[in-house]
Amino acid sequence: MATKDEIRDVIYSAIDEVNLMLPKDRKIEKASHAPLSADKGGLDSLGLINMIIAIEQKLEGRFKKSVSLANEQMMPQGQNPFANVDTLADYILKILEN
Amino acid sequence: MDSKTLSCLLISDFQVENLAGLINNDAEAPILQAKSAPFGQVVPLLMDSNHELWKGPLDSLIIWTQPQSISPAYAKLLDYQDAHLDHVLNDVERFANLILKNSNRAKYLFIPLWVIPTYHRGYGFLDAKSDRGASPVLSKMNLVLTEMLSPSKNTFVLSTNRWIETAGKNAFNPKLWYMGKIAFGHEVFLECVRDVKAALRALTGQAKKLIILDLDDTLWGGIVGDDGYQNLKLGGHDHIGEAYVDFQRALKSLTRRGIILGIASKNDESVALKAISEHPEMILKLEDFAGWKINWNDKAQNIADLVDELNLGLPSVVVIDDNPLERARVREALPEIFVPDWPQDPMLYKSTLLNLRVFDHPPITSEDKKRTEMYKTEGQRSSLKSAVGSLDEWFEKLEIKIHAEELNDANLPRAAQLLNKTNQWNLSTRRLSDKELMDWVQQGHHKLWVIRVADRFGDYGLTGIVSADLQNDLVSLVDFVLSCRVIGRKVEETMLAVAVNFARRSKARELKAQYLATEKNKPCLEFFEKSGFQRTENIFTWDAAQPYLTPRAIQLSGITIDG
Repeated sequence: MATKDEIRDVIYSAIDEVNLMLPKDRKIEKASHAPLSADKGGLDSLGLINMIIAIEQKLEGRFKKSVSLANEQMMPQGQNPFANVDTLADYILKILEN
Repeated sequence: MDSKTLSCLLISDFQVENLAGLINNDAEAPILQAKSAPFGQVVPLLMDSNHELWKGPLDSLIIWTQPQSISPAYAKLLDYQDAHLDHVLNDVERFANLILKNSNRAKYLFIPLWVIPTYHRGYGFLDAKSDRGASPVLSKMNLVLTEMLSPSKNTFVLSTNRWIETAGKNAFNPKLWYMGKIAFGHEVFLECVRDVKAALRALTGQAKKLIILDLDDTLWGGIVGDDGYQNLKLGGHDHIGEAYVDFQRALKSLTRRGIILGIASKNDESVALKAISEHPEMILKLEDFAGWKINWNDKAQNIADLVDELNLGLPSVVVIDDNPLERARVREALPEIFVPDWPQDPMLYKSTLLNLRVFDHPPITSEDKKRTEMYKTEGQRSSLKSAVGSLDEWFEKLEIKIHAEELNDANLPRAAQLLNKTNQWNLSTRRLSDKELMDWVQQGHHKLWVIRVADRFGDYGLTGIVSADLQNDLVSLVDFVLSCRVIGRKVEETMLAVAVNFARRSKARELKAQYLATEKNKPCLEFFEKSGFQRTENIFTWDAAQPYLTPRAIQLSGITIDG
């Protein structure tokens, strides 16, 4: 079973990949509370798409599981799982457990 | 935008902001500043000469399309509808003519060839036989496009298929398309950036012209000075030998593209040249090299001298060396030279070489093919004063640690092995069994230290032996043995410091070293000639009243040298 630390590693690896495409002043920090979604000062819509796909590919590579992060049924009610790295890690853990 | 930054416009029928971002962040030369045109506007943009995107000079233009957007007839074929090949090719010709009309919009145009996602299997196993098969029709489209664009001197088609193969299973992701109209995965765009930059380097005169090669464990397996050329791993019924031969063949093939070869190797020149001339499986011959520096001097200085003599600039040079220490030294001393990371496994040498994107050249001329000969005859023996920086500073950065300990049961097997197999750096070339060596040491007037070496690149283990014989007021240096792996790190000088220290503590008058010449140990003689010892024929002496200083860059443990 994946741990939260392992999931965070995957997210950070995806951040590395996405940052390669972002201008200097918009790069995402690799930290637990680093904002990811645009409303929190993070990625625009294209950046978020790239992040989602990068994470899904890395999760499949690491845990041999195909996951869909843009899955409305799994989204927590009233919460934005892409608010920051930590919330995203929690969300991914929940998906993997299910 | 500074004068060294090139502008780049991306026109596409899919979202290429990812590609623009990768281009803008890529630090490899040349630096590009990319912007993307609104996607899905390829044909309207190319037909609108008044569009604001065409205002101002443009260094490069990438036009990347999907075949089904350019050819409605091909889109029908993908859908298994009726469509004739002629209609498809008419669409291609129209598009090619549109590109040609716009070829003056930028200094250089790059047109990635068409691909379709791998899940399009067309008619499956019959696809290649069908005149409407997705793959064969696409091949014909790309062929017509390439042929029509060929006369344009500033328009270049790029092989998208290689990018797809490199990217593997993540080359296409349907989710990227549905969510963002992004036609390709991250790795495909990265490969595009690398190839476009390689092309621009070639077109702006920044392609590499000279490869300087190490010899031992680079052009062949083994250490020629120790093993003899007959025992090198090169060719034969051996997968590693075969890999080295193939690597040499690949280097030779590059000479046919106008690349010249040189050698910079820490070796005895006559031994190395004999190996090149006489090993039956050498693919590269002496005449394939425009020049060489084969000696025990600093490799970076040797390289600078060689480049000087060949009248080339440092930015045109690639250095290939299996040794990470030597690579680091060259990078540090000559930062304009390209020193690629090099795999440890020789089976990866050929593919690594051919995958380097630094040899792309504008069209080859017959002059390019003869370039090696040109440099051989025109090279000047000029004075060597390229700045390679301070060697002493380099040694400080290496953090070299040397540990000296006396012979014991634990280190005896490795010490005896080193004594018996080392040829080049061996003062007296004694050969003793484990027992004979231990028996010799246990005689009260004999002393032997084994030397362990490490630096920030790794731990080299037990790689040196220094032994001495005290007779009254004279100490004789009996063994002075060093593995080639650690030559040039001031270990040699430190070993002498250990021996002189013993002589001084024993109240000896002098330390004497007798060089016994063999076919292979001339490097040892050359070191002693520069060591500061007094020479009378083959005897080297040091006045034990004087200390022999440990080099400043060395951290020595296991023994204290009196000042």
